[in-house]
Amino acid sequence: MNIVFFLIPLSLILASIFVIGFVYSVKSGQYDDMDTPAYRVLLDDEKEPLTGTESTPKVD
Amino acid sequence: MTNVCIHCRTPVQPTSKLEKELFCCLGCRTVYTIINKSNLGQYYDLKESSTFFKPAAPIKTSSNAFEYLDQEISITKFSANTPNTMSFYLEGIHCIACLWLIEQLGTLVEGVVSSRLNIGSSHVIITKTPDGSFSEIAKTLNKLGYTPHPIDQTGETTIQKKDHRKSLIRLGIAAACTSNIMIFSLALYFGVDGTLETVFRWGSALLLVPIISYTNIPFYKGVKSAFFTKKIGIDVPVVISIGLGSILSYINLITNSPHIYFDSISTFSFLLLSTRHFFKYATQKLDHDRLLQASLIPVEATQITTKNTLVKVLSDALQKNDLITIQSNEVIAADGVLHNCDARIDAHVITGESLPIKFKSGTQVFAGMKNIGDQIQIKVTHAGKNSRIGTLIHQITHQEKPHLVQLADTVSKWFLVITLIIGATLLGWDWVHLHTLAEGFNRSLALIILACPCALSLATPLSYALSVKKAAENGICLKNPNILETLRQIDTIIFDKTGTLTSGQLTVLDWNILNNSPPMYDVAYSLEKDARHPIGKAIIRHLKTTFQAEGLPMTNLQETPGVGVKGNLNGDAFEIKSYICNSKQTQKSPITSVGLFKNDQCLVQITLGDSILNSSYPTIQQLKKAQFTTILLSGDQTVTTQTVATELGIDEYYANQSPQQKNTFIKAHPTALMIGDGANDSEALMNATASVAVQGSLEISLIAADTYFTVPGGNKLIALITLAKQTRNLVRLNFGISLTYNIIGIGLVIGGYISPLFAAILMPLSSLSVLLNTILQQQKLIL
Repeated sequence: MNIVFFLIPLSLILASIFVIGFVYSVKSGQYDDMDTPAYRVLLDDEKEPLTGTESTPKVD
Repeated sequence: MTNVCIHCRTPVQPTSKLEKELFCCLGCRTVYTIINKSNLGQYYDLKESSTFFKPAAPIKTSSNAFEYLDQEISITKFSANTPNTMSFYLEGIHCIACLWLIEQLGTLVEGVVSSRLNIGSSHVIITKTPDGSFSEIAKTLNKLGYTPHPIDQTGETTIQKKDHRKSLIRLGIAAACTSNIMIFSLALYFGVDGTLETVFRWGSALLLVPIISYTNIPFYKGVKSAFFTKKIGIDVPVVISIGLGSILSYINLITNSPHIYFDSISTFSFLLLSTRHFFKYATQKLDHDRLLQASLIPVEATQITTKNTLVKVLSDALQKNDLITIQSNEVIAADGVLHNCDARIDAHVITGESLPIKFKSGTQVFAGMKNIGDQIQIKVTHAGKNSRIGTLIHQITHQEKPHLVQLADTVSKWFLVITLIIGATLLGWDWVHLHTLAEGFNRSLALIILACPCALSLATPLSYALSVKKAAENGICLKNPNILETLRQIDTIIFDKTGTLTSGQLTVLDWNILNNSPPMYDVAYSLEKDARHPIGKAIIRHLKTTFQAEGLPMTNLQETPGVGVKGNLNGDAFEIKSYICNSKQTQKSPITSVGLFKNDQCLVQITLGDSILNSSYPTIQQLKKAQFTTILLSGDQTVTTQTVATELGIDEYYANQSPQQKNTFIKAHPTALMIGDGANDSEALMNATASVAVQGSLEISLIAADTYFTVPGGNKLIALITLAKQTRNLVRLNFGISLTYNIIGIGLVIGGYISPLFAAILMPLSSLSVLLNTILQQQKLIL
């Protein structure tokens, strides 16, 4: 049963890593728009790169 | 699919059979050309396959030059800390093809680094190169038919966004802590002992700390505001039970007594937070002062400088005594005094009057009025937010409606008071009789946990939120779910006439041919072809839709404001002017009539008026069947109002009502629902106990009213009333269930049959059963 004393802190550490990840994703605006990304993936990539259209994810 | 506009798919009449590419308007043709020139034709393929949102409307561009976007004042206002980034709200976003086109903006205009669209909120974030110009970018967007409105970075939208993020973070942390506490508690329920028990107990105690100290802050704020407004809200019992529960749990933890309730406290907090989050953000609408203002008054104004040159400026930035000029058919951008000129003005936005009014030089005119005469100049008195319409918008968007004290809150409050009294009595009883506090503590705590009216506080907003969603799917948009509660008191429906029961547009009602003349459609069409007057426009609309009239080579075409139009054809003088004769009275509320004259002999009498919407008849009948009193309140003349009222069978009618009179009337009828549109109704809508704005109304009405219908006319009124009734019944049912539950629970606690542990298991179960009931019942609601 001693393994439990190792697993409990481990699970808490993992949980806090997930929480930190979640907080980061919210703060960087990944949850601001729940609709568009679903449609954006349906759009084909451009056949030939056009100048000035790098649509890098820009968040404020 | 043949005869449709190639850009927006509006059906069109082909002018010649040879033409392959059909367009409904010049705007659509321009956009089609731009898109194809830049090899972005994929737009149309995407559009074909897209099912998202509504179909596109014909292109409507505003005439703004957007020069103000490059001026100093805009840069500080719209792009706060990042001079190369600006957000815009775009009108007319409707499908995935729009998304694609907007994000290809770089191929259409120089200087765009990136352009990201949020399809749900129609917000686009545009980053430009340092040399790029926002006015050029905005012009391109406008040319494509997406009229852009820059978003004030200091305004409410930004604050809302920050709130939303914070609320999500709270929810996430609460979820993480709760689920881990649950794991520990399960082990405890199954009876671990020894060191492991201690570890699990302290572990769950530790995990409750973030919930108490961070995620529950909104509840503490609720208590604080309840304290200042002296109204007990639902937050008070919530905080008391969370507070007492956790204090006792921590005491029991330290004293090694078995009763700890970290799991119930955290579950309770999480469930409450999540319902509130979804409730708040599902019903939140973008209501932005600036956007509203922009829909009513132009963003740009043409200023005459001291050097007598013309510059386009942001209308917000106009100063007192600036001189601005307004072209014919333009909307006035600021309040001001007419400067050395007379004006003919369409003031329906301000007064609701559908016919133009004459203003003398030196009189006051207001932003939002439309100049339909010749070009005028005004000396500005108030601009932007300080203009009459600006202050009205501000008042409306910032005045909180007095929220009804909801039934749930009242019941919970009394429930809580009674529970606390019983709890204290139990504690006292035990102390007197058993000389120990331990047993009394346990019972009181079990009581408080069990009796906490959380089922009520969760289920009531959830029922409302689900009803709001249901209504939205049926074309009823509820600004404020309180209306569902308020509708209970309503026994009278007050209608506005124009635009609510009638179409709100001057329409040709009768084309009465006199003296055996031919109908003269072509002549009338050619005379009124370029008319600016509403009567002329109505005639053109009538002829275009019903008769396919063709233009004739009319000479000496002349429009005399206030008189009529005249012109010559083949040596005969034709004229359309005011002509009142009593030969024939039509039933449908005539407003005015004009005559078509040939060499001063009247050939055709054209009667114009506002036609009653077909949907108005069944609406009134159903309302009367449901025992509602119907009242017609109109700014129009007595004759017109009377005709409409008798035609529809409305109980009472009042004509010639000014906005102030309407307002007083509404205040005198606290049990009435007001349904109307137009800026002249907005004050009355605000002050009505319940109010509905109908489609086609100005956005300002929509902000003032609790509800708006996305279909014209009042035929959704019955559906709304039914929905409100069903929602209230559902809330009552939930009340019944959870009260029964709690009363039985309290009985058992007082008898000493239930331990706090049992209470902690029963409490979430009761909430769950009520929530499930809500969702199941809601699915049965029929609209």
